Amino acid sequence: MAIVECFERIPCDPCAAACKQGAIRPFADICDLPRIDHELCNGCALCVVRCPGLAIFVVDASAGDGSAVVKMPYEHTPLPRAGQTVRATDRSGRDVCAGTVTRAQRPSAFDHTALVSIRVPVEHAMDVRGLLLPPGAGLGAGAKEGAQEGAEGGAGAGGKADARAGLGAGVGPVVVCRCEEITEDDIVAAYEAGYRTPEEIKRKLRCGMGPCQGRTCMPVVLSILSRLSGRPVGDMAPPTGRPPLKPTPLASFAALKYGPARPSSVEEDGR
Amino acid sequence: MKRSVEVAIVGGGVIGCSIAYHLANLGCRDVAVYERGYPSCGSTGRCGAGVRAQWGTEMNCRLAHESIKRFERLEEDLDYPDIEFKQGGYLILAFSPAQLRQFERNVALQNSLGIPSRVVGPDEARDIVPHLAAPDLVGATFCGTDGHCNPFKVTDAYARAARRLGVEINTYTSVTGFEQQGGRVVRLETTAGPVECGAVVNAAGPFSAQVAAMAGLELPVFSQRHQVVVTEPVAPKQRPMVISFAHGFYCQQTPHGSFILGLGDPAEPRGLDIGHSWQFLADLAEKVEHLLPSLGRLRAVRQWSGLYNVTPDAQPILGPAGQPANLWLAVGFSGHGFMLAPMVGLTIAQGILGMEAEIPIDRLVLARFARGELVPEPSVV
Ligand SMILES: Cc1cc2nc3c(=O)[nH]c(=O)nc-3n(C[C@H](O)[C@H](O)[C@H](O)COP(=O)(O)OP(=O)(O)OC[C@H]3O[C@@H](n4cnc5c(N)ncnc54)[C@H](O)[C@@H]3O)c2cc1C
Ligand code: SF4
Ligand code: SF4
Ligand code: FES
Repeated sequence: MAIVECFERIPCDPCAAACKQGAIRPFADICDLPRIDHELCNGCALCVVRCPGLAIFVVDASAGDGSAVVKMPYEHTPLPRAGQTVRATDRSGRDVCAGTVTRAQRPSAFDHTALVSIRVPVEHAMDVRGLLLPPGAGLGAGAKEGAQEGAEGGAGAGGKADARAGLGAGVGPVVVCRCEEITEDDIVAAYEAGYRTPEEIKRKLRCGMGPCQGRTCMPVVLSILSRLSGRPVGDMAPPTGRPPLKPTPLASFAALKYGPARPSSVEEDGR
Repeated sequence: MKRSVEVAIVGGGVIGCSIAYHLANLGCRDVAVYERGYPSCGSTGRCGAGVRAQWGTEMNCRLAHESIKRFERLEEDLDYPDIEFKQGGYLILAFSPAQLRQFERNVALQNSLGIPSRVVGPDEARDIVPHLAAPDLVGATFCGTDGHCNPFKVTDAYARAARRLGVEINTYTSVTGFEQQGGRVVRLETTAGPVECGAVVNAAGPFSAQVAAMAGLELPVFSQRHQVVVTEPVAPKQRPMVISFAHGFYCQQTPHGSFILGLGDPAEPRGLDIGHSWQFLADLAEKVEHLLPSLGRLRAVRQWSGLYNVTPDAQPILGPAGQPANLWLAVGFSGHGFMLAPMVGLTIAQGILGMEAEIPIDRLVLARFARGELVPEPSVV
């Protein structure tokens, strides 16, 4: 069945249109959060690749052998191969367990988002929301792996030499944020200059402010900061997600027909 | 963290950091800033950061004009690499003969104070901004020394310069209460423990009323959400900020290439909501279609909002609160606190230190409301 982890009231509704089973109820307001009728959902995962927020997953525990298949959106290269063993991670990129790729598809109809299915022990099915390829499976994946190792070994050890030994080891400058061309060295330098939180780093360097809005780079930024500070990734507040999730021409909003409803998302400045 | 300071500043936005820097620069280095988040996490980091001297009252013209001169040399003064100050001018649009007459009076006032603004006709306005449509445009005013900067970097520059001069900037530290004795604040309660103080500055932006209330003082201010959207970066296309009071609309292109567009909504409820609404995008798209239609093709990448802190005459409250005797106010900036920050910082610091203010700001004291001596500013979004 499909699990929707969409918690922000943002103007976004492709999931409702994607579902051919009528399992995602039509939205009354475009900012509604999706609600799924699990009786109708057949686990086809069409909604998974359509969600620009990468917020939908399908969990299939029907095998009954203690394992479950998690189908997730995947926007990196290279695409994992079926049969490959990968590390399964949670939402914030923390290692959870090993997983086996059962399927990896990137048909053109999916608009550049691939769908990867991995088999994991059923008790981890509700934690696993990402994957990391083994080292050497390509530069991008290697870099992520390095970040991961750093994050794990980072507790208390976040020194300068350690920082250098991170992602860039042996491959030259590592671009962390593709949209704004920010390298790992830039992030380390900013950290050393006193910009400590993900939000401050974003403000100073612009990483996370590009067209992808940090969906590509923020997990890596968090793991670099975790390695430098010794704080676990889960303790750091990532910058607030901002709509629209996909770059959208301004003029297209003029066509929105709307009623009297006013505030669509309430985020109190109060902390 | 110090347990006793001469001046304690509540709020590390551009205003608090500028006051801290100016105090230290004038020789008072026993200063601490208490900021609930990081410098510029409040209204400052969320603002359009437009900077203009084209105002309708002498006070604002002078504060803004002098502030622009300081923005021009801020990198040098504060030893900061780049505040992204771009002086592409401000083009202010008029849509009725009455509005144009008001603008003509404003320009006369501005020119008398040395501000190089001028009235332009619709054709010249379209020479300045070729993609300007606005078929019903009556005229406009233009001032080439206006512009905008990066608000995070300006605040960061003040904070870092202040720190180098010995100011203590406490981030992720909230002020939770004041203790008074003999009509003075003698101690602050913070989330990092108590601090004794000689004087306190309320620079809490949208939370100015809450902070004043901790000292038993009621301020005639309210906070109100204003929303902004930013587009993908494109090649340089628009030099000036384009602004229309009639539409509550403003639009600039940053040096980075992205466009920032904002819209005030007169029906926006008061409060501390900083969420975002798609109705804003729909309203904005309509204004873009009317004023700058070719920007409709640009793709929006990020939408956010921040809070104005608004007074009855849309002018800030600056100076001593009166009661408690050692409480200072630098609050209520509506949509123009960023651009005034250099001179507000300087004049408040001069006031606290008992020096004569570079520009007299006594007309902006809190007591003006009780006396009924408001200073209404006509030129606001
Ligand atoms: C959408 C938008 C567009 C704008 N555009 C412009 C523009 O183009 N030009 C312009 O000049 N101005 C503009 N403004 C206005 C400008 O942002 C503000 O006037 C200015 O930033 C006010 O600065 P500040 O330091 O007073 O407030 P803030 O930046 O809000 O700083 C106050 C700080 O106090 C902290 N604080 C609050 N309570 C406590 C407490 N109890 N303890 C510790 N810390 C506390 C907050 O965390 C905050 O960081 C705009 C505002 C908005 C919202
Ligand atoms: S998995 Fe398929 S059936 Fe289930 S909600 Fe998504 S699109 Fe609909
Ligand atoms: S973010 Fe994804 S799940 Fe949420 S409304 Fe949009 S498409 Fe649906
Ligand atoms: S990769 Fe950083 S914003 Fe897109």
